[in-house]
Amino acid sequence: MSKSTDKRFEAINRLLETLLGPVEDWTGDELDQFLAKAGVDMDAASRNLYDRVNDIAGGYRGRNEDIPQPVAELLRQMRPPDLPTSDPEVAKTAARKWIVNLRRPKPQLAVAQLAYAFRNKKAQIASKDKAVLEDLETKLKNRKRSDER
Amino acid sequence: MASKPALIAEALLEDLGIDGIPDLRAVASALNVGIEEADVESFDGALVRVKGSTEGLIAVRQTIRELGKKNFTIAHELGHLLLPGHDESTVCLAGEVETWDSGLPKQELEANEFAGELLVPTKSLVKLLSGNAPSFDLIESLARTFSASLTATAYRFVEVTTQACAVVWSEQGTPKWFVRSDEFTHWIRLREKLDARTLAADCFGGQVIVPNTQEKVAAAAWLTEAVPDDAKILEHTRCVPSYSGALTLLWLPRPLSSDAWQDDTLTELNSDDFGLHRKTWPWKRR
Repeated sequence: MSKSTDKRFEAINRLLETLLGPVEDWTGDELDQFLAKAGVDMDAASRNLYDRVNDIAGGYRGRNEDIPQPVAELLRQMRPPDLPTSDPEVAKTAARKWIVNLRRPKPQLAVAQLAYAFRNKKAQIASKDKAVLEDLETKLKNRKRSDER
Repeated sequence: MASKPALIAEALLEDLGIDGIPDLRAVASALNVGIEEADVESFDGALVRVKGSTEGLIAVRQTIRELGKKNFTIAHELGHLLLPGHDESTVCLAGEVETWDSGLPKQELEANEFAGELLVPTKSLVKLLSGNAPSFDLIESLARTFSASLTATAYRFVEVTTQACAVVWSEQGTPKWFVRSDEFTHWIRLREKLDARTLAADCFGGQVIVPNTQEKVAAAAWLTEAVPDDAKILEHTRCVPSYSGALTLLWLPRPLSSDAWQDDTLTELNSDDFGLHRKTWPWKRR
């Protein structure tokens, strides 16, 4: 980890150092853990960063200029695997990266969030079956709680 | 090129070090996913998941009769768990699992693609196909090997085979979807009543017993393009009364263009057609 040397961030850096200690000494895993505890969704944050950098690259493309090498490299490294591609090798590599990233042990968000898209089909689900789904949610929540203990 | 869901299923098997026929429950367990059979009626499968992880619970309708179909449903829900853009929990209705109807929502089609590759991996399937002629006897034997359903195995067979084959699913007398191999260059008539000349039509016709073997039928009965009445296609159909359906394997051992109807076209050729004074195109009937 390294801190920005930009003078505009001096006050923030001083505050961070007081609160957290020297961030230069943190490892990547410690940072992941810290962000997860703070409730930051790293996948969403990475996607936002990619989109932002891609906008910057788009500016260069629009002016018919070469994209600076560090920008191009950042885009290459952060390319989300769900982006379409016609290159079979890129698609294969993206699929592998996606699975490796999914299975990598990650710090859990401060509160485990269950996702509930099936509520969109509420009208099509019998009330008896809705109870089964709710029971399933409860089971998963309980499992999470006992894992956290 | 394999589809993105298929590539992700392949990458998962690779990551788990599975190089043969996958044990679906072991795959789920490695992902920290529990599987429960549920006494439900209005859906086939459901997934409740912890956001941002592969942890979850899958419910599968316990009254699904065939093990292959149950396995497919579980694999389909694993697809929702693992595929990019499928970030929520899901409930999948009977008409959404193990079907390749192009009218389905994209996410359901993707989950079906994923499930097909996970249950019947291309690498393993290719090894078992070598030199075998397309038939339901072969597909049934493959379905038993992979503990997959007949429909899913037939679909995967057609995706992988180098023969000119297509699989058609018909429901209540109407073809709903088909999939074809790269070598099968024809289109199948969909969403119109099955032609009476097809064996599949007999599945819905009452008294006629559908033969358990491949039969030559009029190609025109299945294909959208105009072909002469005497052009034939090999049809093998399995009636599936429990789903009011029929699964059909179509096979063209020779391209239709080399059949008798092309010989008719050749007789029309005239050396004048190739000169500067050509007045008609050679394939136009005069």
